[in-house]
Amino acid sequence: MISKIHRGYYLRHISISNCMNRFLNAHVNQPVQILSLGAGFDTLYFQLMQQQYETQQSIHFVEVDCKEISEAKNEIIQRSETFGKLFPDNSEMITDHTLATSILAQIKSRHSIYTLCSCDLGDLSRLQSTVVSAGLLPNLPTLILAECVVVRD
Amino acid sequence: MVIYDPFQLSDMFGATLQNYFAVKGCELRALRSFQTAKDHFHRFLGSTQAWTACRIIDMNHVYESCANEEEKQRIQRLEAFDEFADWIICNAHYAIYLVTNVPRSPSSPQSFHWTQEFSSARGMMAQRFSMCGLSEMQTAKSVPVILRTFQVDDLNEVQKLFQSTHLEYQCKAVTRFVNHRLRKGGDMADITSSFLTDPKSHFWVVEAMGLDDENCGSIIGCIGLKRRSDTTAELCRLSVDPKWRRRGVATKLVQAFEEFAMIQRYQHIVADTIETMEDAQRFYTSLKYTEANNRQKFSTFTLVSFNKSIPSP
Repeated sequence: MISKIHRGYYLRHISISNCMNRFLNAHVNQPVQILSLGAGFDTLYFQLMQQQYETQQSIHFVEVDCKEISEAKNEIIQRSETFGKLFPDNSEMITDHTLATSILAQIKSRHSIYTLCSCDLGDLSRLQSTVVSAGLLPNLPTLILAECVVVRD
Repeated sequence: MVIYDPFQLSDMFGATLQNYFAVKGCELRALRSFQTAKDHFHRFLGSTQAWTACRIIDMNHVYESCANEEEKQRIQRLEAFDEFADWIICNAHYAIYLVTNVPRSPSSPQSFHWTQEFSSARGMMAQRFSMCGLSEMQTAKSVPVILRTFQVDDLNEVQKLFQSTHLEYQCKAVTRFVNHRLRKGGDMADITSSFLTDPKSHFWVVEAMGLDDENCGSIIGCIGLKRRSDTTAELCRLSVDPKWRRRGVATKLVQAFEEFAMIQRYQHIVADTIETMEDAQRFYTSLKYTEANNRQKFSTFTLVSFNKSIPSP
């Protein structure tokens, strides 16, 4: 039973990563955006940073999840011992006080930005204003990831 | 947009899964309205949406194409596994949904959007177009149409469309051909078995969304692809409702056919007509199909074959 669950998660992960890499390769010379809805404790961005170090593609990666999950994730990534492992060297936390309260963290690295947002995914108008506050632009190639989220609503 | 979600939960497995989540207090609410692939296609490609194309690939097919043999062996070595029957059942109930708003790829046949290239297993697909139709008031109106993979509940409509369009020819050979295809054992008696079991075959329909009621679609066109050999695809059962002709429906169907054939690495397409089907012959010629040198004469009809070579992707 457990090994079936492991395989299921593995297959889900490689399919999402496969899609993300295809998307990035399709827009290799353009800035792109990735919006991960219901991201939870997903580590896709951090894995991407380890791969992307060589290619230097400009990516704005925005994660959105409910308050409880986002705040717990924020607490983990802000710890100094984890921050250094997760983000590339010379990354800095943006401490712009005009950021909306739904933006829990925004970390700028040399070629990419990571934004962690808190929002009830069932509140569509709030979700829309959250992604706008996060800085997502409507005219850039954007990949939206939604794992086990759309079916809930 | 890339979605990973449960899929096709209308069986016991699905009922158990939904109950599991309901008991935990997080009911899968979307399933109240969106159950089948067709529901999902209408949901994403309805005319109020900006999305223009959608693919749904279940996880069994994703597994075939995302994990090569070497990777599968590596996984097998990490952990013992013998629940293959359960694994297949579970995977049949989850899918990757790829939804895009990128306009159709340009006329160059080599250029596929990355969502088309993910997974050589085609799964199910849908694309939205606009066509000119007439409303009940007989005024011209742009009508959204969805070109998509055949679904089981399309069967009756597709059979009627196939029968009525072919019998327009009022020719004994065609009547015999139609009856042969529709009777038990014929490929139009069970389109799912005949065209959607082999991963290198397919069947598409065009559904016109109701002119005055968005949720009421009707089948106005169809086409089938059969594997004649590993390198040759047969174009068959192309039918378009007479009220919808001369609007590009057949061209869109053949375009979807040719894209599938290219991705599946076919090298040739063949399409057979009979001598009386002059409109069909003109149509294939206009799409750069070449008539075969000889017309084969049979007792009640003469076969006219067309073929086309496919560039590799």
